[in-house]
Amino acid sequence: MAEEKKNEVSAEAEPWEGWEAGLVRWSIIAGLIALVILGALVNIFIL
Amino acid sequence: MSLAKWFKGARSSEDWWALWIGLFLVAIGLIGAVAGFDLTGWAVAFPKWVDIGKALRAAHPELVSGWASLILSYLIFSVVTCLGARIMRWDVRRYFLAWTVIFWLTAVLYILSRNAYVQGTAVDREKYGIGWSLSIGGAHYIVALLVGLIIGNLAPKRFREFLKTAARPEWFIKIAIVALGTKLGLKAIEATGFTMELLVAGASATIAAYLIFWPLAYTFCRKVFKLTREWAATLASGISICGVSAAIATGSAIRARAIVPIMISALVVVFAVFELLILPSVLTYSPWFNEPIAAGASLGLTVKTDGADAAAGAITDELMRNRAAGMGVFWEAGWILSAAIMTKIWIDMFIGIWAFLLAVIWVYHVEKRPGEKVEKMEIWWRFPKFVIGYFIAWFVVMGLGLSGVISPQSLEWGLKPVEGAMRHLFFMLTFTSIGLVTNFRELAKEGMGRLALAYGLILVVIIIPIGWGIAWLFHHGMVPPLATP
Repeated sequence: MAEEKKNEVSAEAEPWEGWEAGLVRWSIIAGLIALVILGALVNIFIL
Repeated sequence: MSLAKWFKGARSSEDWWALWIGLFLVAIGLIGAVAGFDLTGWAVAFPKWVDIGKALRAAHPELVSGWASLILSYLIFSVVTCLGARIMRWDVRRYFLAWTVIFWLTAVLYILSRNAYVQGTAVDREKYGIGWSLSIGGAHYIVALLVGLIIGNLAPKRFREFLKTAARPEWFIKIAIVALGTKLGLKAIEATGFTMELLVAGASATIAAYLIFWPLAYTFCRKVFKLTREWAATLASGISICGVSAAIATGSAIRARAIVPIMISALVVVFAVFELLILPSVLTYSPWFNEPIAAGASLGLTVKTDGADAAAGAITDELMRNRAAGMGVFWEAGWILSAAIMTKIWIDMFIGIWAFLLAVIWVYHVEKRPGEKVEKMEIWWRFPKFVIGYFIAWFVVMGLGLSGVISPQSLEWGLKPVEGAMRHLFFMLTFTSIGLVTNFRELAKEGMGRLALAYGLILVVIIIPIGWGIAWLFHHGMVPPLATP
């Protein structure tokens, strides 16, 4: 039990897979595009 | 779809009870406004004082004396919260006793720290006939937090555990945030444009939290700290989205072991307290002072529990207004706080959708169980219900006032005690409770060091810089309206 507890955080990480990279990449791209669009609208109509 | 599914947890969850109690307080304010019968003026307020005999005042002083309002507030809030505790099947007797200790401790700290020599501004000195003052606006919040931390970390364990029964920072702050919705409603009647600007600009926080912070934090955890997907996803949610509730929702969505969200939640709370202690002063005494609304908004992006975010917003509101008052500029109270809460609410709102998406990803890509169905109702079950109360309070009050159904003066009379005295008291209870539940010993647990390092680095390298940048981009130039003399 103590050994299991010791490895709670230090368990070996799974290899980084392609779908993880894809999700991260497309999330950030979508986020940046959305921020630019919202930013333009806020800049024109509010600020 | 059965109604029971929509109201799952409506009797048993703290989140739903924040909605019920918050809406109850708003409702009695509205009923009073319509009927002309004072249903809210008994709420106790804590004005600045030089003569301690004037340290208490009812929201409507003509209704009852200060002491009577304090006792009435204790009795009424005891009944209301004990009712919630009873229906949520807590140990009501234990809750009531612990609540009593916390309430009266908070009241004493509130009274003492509102002394004019501590909190009086340069303008107050003439009013109170004093030659000097420390001008520490928000000192009452800091004192409540520090005393709570001292008791929560140094008092005998049995006493600490006893007090935790009623130390419910998330519950109290959610009730306060529903009450705060009425403030936005009242302000919108006078300045609809500015409140709508805050609402729209705040949407940037949703994009930042879910599409920028989360993927960056997840990548950092996986590739730099070599954490498993279970730890990385839960930590990414805790640090990017909404702290404790996001960690728990994520842990549940990806079927993480119970220890995972528990350890992440402990980190979230501890780091949020450090941010609460440090950020308000950093923002006030730096060039952020010239961008008060952006500063408030940045707190919602960077402080990861609702309680600590609202608390930091309240302190920053007081500190910045005090500093501005010293320069002869009198900003209206509550707007910097509202900016902090608005960005947080925009982030909170979508936790249900995020938990659903993570569950789908985990079922299809991680655990590879494509035949398994993920319930769409998860989105609603995870949706923070107190947010509904906040928007109901805001739009109902605004609608009634703008349409002329109830005069703005009547609304102000009935609801000011709710958004003022009652909300401030629940804020104070939140601060005391945050201190009581924050245990720095959690950091000594096995494996915590690595998680804490990951959390701290992500906060300092990713969340705070990007959060500050986005807050500035979307809110620069916005200034609180000036207070009417």
